Amino acid sequence: MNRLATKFCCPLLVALFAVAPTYAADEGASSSTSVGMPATIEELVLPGPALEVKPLEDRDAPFVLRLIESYPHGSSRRYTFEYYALEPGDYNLTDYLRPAEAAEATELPEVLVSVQPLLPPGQMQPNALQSSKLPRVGGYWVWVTLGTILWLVAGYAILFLGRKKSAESTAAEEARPKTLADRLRPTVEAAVAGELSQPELAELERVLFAFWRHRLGLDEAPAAEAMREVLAHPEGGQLLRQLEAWLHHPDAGSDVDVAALLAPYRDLPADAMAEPSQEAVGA
Amino acid sequence: MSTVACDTQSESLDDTIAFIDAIRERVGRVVVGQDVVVERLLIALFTSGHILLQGVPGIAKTLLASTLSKAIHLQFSRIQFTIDLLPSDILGSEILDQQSGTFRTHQGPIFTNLLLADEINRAAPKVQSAMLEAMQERKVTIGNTAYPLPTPFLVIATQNPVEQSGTFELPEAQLDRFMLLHRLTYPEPEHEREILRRNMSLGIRREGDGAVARSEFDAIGDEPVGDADMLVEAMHAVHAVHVSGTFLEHVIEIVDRTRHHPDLELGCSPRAGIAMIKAARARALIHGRNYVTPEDLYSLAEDVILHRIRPNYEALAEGRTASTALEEILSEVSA
Repeated sequence: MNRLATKFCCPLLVALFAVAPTYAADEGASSSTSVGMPATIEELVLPGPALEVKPLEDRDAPFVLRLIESYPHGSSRRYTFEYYALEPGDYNLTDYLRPAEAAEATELPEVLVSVQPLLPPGQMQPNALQSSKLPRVGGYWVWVTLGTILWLVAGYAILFLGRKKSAESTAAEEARPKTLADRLRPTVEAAVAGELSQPELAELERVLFAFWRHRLGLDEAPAAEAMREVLAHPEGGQLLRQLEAWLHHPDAGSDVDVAALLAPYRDLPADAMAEPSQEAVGA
Repeated sequence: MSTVACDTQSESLDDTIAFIDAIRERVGRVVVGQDVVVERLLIALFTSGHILLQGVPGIAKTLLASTLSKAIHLQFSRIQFTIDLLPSDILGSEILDQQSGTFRTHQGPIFTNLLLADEINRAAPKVQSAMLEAMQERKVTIGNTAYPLPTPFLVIATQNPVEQSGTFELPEAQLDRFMLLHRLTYPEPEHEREILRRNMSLGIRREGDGAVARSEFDAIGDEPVGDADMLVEAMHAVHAVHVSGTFLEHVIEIVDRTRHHPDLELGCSPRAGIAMIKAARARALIHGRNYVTPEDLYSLAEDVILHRIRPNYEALAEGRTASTALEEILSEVSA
């Protein structure tokens, strides 16, 4: 058995030692890898000044090379590269290198690397993507024209439609009573004519109290205190007491002249409530 | 205080007003500067309502109740509410008589005319609930027998707005049973001066071989100014006070506004409207009128309404209270 092994192994080893120096000299730093897998080439000696990798300008470039490190090596330099490829094939590394400084380009030897496909041959390739640009809408002048039209329309809307709305709201405000005096007028008219229901009479009494409360500057005072103050006022108090006699006394309204009582409040000016410090209406 | 009689007052009404004035004068002799509280107590007494006084200790709440009871010759009891109080401590219970071997009913301190429930919020909810049920139904069931409470029956409850730890806040449903919740404040400086002056002149009272310093309670006169009949007469007079349709509309409007105010999550119940009418009638009579006016409404609104409404979370977060909401409701002119 040992004799048999010695008989076959010795010639094989001799052949390997004979072939190995020849392989290293022929292949140099060349290497191979498969698609997408990074590989490293170490100790690659290239003549001439220092080299660098050309910038990658094509985003779809099938081969990417990176310089890991470089050292002086006599008059040459020794490099370590890393690369990967996205397409199978042979790539010459020196095609992707250039002098690092603005030095005269040196003739570089061919350093081939082989990238092997992972897929078996005969694969069907998908159709290449067809990128198409969106159709351009108009040009500069078209956009300027459209912008001008839009600006004019918006300006018109702000100036004229806004004013129209404001006029409508003003009309609506004019339609409803703005001041307490305005609210008081129709109620007093109806009260004099004897046309008010109990809830309306109650509201009339509240409005007259609010009128005198505001007139005496008691808007911020508590309601109970304001009532005491108004009752203590010569004219406001007289009005409230007559209202009590008219609306709350068991013999309601027997000796109260409603028309005379409410006469001062029949036609109050709209700004009658504007000045709290003003004196009484009937004065 | 106004005692101006209106034109249509009868002689009976004059007698009633004189009776009310006499009570106020008697109470005023002992208690200084609490005219409004006395008025509210009389309102509750004349309308069979109950009143909750909210105020810090030492502002004559007990003295007030004691003076009022003696002025009208009413029975008076005082219960200090504490956490360990039991319902039977107030209402009473059945006790086994060992000699006869039968159960004997012991009636609690609630069987009185005027009951001062001091610091009611210190008692456990079951005690509060038991008492408030008795207040509402005016009878107490001990064992299997229901006992009516004496008439008149008025509960004057107090609660302290400070020292809230260890208290049980009365829920809204129970607060609603109180016709009025009056907030007591400290006396004005001139009233405080008079309180001190009177206290300094009280002197010493001999008791047996020793002596004790006289207190304001010793100054309460024992002679009543009226009796139960006069009180019944006053209650009749209150019932006869005229309430106009316009006044009813005011009350309906205000109660309704509390139910729709954006700051309130709980508005007034119909009981609030009833309480307002009753209280306004009594106040009108106390002020010598036989008809109610909006002044009665505005004056009583805080005491009748404020404890029956509850502000919502949004209002509280923005610093608005039930009090501000009520002021807005009262100041609002129309619906």
